[in-house]
Amino acid sequence: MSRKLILSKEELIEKYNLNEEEQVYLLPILMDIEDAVRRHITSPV
Amino acid sequence: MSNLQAERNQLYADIWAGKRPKRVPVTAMISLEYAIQHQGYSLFREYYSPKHCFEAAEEMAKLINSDNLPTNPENMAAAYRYSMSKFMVQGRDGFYQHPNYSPMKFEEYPELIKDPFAYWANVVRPRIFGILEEDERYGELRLNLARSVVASKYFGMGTPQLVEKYERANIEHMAMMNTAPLDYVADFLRNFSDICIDMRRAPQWVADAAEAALQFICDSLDRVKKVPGKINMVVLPLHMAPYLNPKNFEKFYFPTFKKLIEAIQERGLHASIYCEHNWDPHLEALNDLPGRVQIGFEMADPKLVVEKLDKRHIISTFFHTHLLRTATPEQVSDAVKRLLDIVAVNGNYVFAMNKPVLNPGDASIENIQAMVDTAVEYGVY
Repeated sequence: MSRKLILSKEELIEKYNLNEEEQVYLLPILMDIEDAVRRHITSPV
Repeated sequence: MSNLQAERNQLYADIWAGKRPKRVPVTAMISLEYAIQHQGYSLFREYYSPKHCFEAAEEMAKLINSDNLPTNPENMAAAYRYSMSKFMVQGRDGFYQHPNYSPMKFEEYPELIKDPFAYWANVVRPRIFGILEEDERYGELRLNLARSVVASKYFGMGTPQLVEKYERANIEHMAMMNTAPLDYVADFLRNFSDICIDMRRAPQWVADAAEAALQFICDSLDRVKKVPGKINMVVLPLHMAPYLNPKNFEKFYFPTFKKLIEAIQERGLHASIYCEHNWDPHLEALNDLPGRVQIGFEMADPKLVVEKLDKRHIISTFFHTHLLRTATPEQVSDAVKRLLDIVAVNGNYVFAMNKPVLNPGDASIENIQAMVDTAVEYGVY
């Protein structure tokens, strides 16, 4: 199984099947994690 | 440190030193899920917001005058969700629970027994965390970052801040939470149903697996960083024993469990165990545990425990949480006094409920307050 490197907001909602309530606070945390992964992968040092 | 916090710490310090404290230490266990719902918040919404979790835990600290912090604000639910953990799964009610899941196959016992660390790292972990299976290259990075991102959200608004502000005891430090070796195999690798079959089908494999789990846990104990000046505790919720007959308890459960308690104490740590379900048939065995162990009970008969258990151990819990659901505050108060008359006789008792309050329907705040306030006032020696 392979995963797209960084998921967008819409892709996270779909992948984790987030309901409307979960999109308020959980979704931003999942987006922060994706951002942290991106920062790590793109870091040149 | 405030005087009140120092007094509270002294209660726990005395009891761990084998001295009768000035009064019974009073511990309250109010789950974050209760606190969130008490605020009118949702387990699908504000439960993921550190700010709201902190606010909910703080409200519990304001309302409940226990010696410990009644509710810790931190939760890692977002990390469980991101990592697609099969060990912590959200139910339809919003609670995350450990399901009866078995990541280990029966025929893999020899692999576990040969090298438990390698087996755990290479075979079990990818089965537990969906993110590892889904992303072989970056899965471990994602898992690690998920945990650190979620933990960082509580910076400056976590347990330490509430403990200081509300002057709660902080002398006890949970250095590690783990399990008895057979429970490790049953809880994390096989499951309750499978291991009961395994004990009949391959008893030697199960016994050897418990020994392997013991070694694995001891290796983790070697890496524990003790916090100076604290009572560094290894907390062990115990599961399987009440479901075993005396013969199987002696054969599969107790030998490695006792060795683990010895290993904990040899490393200068303190064991705090919680005997889930009814341990009345195994009370004598607890006297074979070395040193001083804090022992909480879910369903044991308090009179029997006081009569049979060696007084060098610390005893805890016994107060039935279900009373908080149905009784009046006066009835709760009377029940606390009756319990203290039985268990607070040798100076080795820590008051606590027999299980945490989970939902607002489990207990009214008035009943929790009556329980704690009565224990504080009536528990003076």
